[in-house]
Amino acid sequence: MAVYLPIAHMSVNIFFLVALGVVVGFLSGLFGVGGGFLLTPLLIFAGIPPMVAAASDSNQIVAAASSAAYTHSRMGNVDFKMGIILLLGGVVGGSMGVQIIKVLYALGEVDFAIELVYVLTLGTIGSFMFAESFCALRRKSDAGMYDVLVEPRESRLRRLASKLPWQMNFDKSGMTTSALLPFVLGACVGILAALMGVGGGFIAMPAMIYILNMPTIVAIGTSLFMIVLTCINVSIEQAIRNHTVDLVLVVVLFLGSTIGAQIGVRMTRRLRGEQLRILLAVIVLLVAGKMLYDLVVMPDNLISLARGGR
Amino acid sequence: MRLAILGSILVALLLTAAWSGMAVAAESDGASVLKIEPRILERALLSKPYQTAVITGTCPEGSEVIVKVISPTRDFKLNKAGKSLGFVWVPSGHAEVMEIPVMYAVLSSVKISSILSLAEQERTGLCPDFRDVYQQAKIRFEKDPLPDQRTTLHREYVAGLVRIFIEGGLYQYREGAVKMDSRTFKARLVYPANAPLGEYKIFCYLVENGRALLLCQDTLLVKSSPVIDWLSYYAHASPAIYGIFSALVAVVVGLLVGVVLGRGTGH
Repeated sequence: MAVYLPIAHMSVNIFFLVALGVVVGFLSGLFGVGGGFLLTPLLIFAGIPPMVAAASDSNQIVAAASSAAYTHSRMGNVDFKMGIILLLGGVVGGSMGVQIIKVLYALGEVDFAIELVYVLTLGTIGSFMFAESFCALRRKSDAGMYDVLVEPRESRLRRLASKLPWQMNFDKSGMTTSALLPFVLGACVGILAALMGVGGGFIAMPAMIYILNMPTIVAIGTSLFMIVLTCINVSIEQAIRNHTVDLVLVVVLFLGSTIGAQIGVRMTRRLRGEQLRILLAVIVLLVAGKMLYDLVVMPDNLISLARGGR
Repeated sequence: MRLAILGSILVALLLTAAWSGMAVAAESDGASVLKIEPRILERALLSKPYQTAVITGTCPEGSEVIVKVISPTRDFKLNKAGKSLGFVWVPSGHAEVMEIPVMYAVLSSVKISSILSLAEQERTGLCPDFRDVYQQAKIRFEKDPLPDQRTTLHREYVAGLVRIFIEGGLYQYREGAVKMDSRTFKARLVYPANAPLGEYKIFCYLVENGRALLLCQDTLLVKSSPVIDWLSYYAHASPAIYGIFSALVAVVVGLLVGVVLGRGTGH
């Protein structure tokens, strides 16, 4: 059984799309990421035009992340104050990102730009998370302190932010810092979210842990809360400016992702912070590796359809 | 008087016989006997990846038949990959190929090269490499190439696009796909879901003494279902409403699933 995607102008196996949704939703609930960093490349590999994949993915993430965020908020894992400041930055960054896409589209370089941003961002974040989590696991193993929660040390940016204006208390995260730090962080996440068609969770989540030094579980819940609202903004802007949100693709994907997200949330209770981080790092690095391979290896056909080729 | 009446009857009979004979001859020439089932293909939201249309017709006994189907034309923006920094493949050239048919199918009762010369294949647009479209397609380069490179680049871009079409099942060259039965032929046209909407031209050729003669031609209409039309229309005509509606649906579904499946979690 195939489903016809009216904006992508193609048919795709409906069971394949639902299964993709389940896998990505599971990651969303487990790691506090939207799963777009994984879903957009997978949709592109399946032949869906990158711009439609990126825009529809943002919309799909709204469903998966709101499902997981609701459950996390019931578990007390969401720092709403931090989330709203991150979101304000995300809205500003998201709008800037959509404009950048328009410029790249006009230049005919948007496909390459999306792939390059993916490889660089995923590669950097994945490598950093992997190294940090691996060291944390080794430290615990050496000390034999499996029951002690090891969270990253205070970052330089955090120390710098303590000297900036607009200092605020974030009770749920157990910290005091300048509101400027999460705002700028949110703006960076928003730009990447629009460029890559992702919620930005895989960037926001490590940033909250390593830069803001939030507890992993609160970072997951807060990241999801932020992702929902950032992606609503991005998907509406994509629909208005680029006409690339395929509602049929979105609906089929979130049939699977909302259910997968619930399973993922339940799994977070069974894994420790550094285990979650190292798992996420491995997945991020695998996706980056595949995209890098595609950039480096000579394509079978040197001619390809450009954005909005038809 | 009787002679005149008899004469009139004789003339009338002769005229009727002649008319019938002409009609039979016309039928055997294949002037009016192409049947396409269904005549209108509707692209639905949920379907098989391919739809089929059956083309049947009559032809002289013992002859060979070739069916050619051509879709409406479209314009395509293309990138050409080139090596950059010594190791990364990036789009290095851009061009727009215009007025190229998105679907081009050639179905025949036997191997075409065994019944038609290359020149005859070219004349009728029945070549296995679809070279007919190379002449038909126009090209506009983003940056004008040198005059001596123009023809090569034109060919390169069109060949790349044709290859994409072949891989997508849009360009088909299926020898043996037309089934012959005495004085009738039957061809099953496989229509991929990514083929364009619009009116398709169908040509049936009769091969006699190494020449392809146009036996008959007709059209097939491909249209989309009302739901697809509605979604496509709103995505472009009212993008703000479409975007807000899409986001709203996503939030409602996400929260509903969270409430239903999230019972039992929390403090």
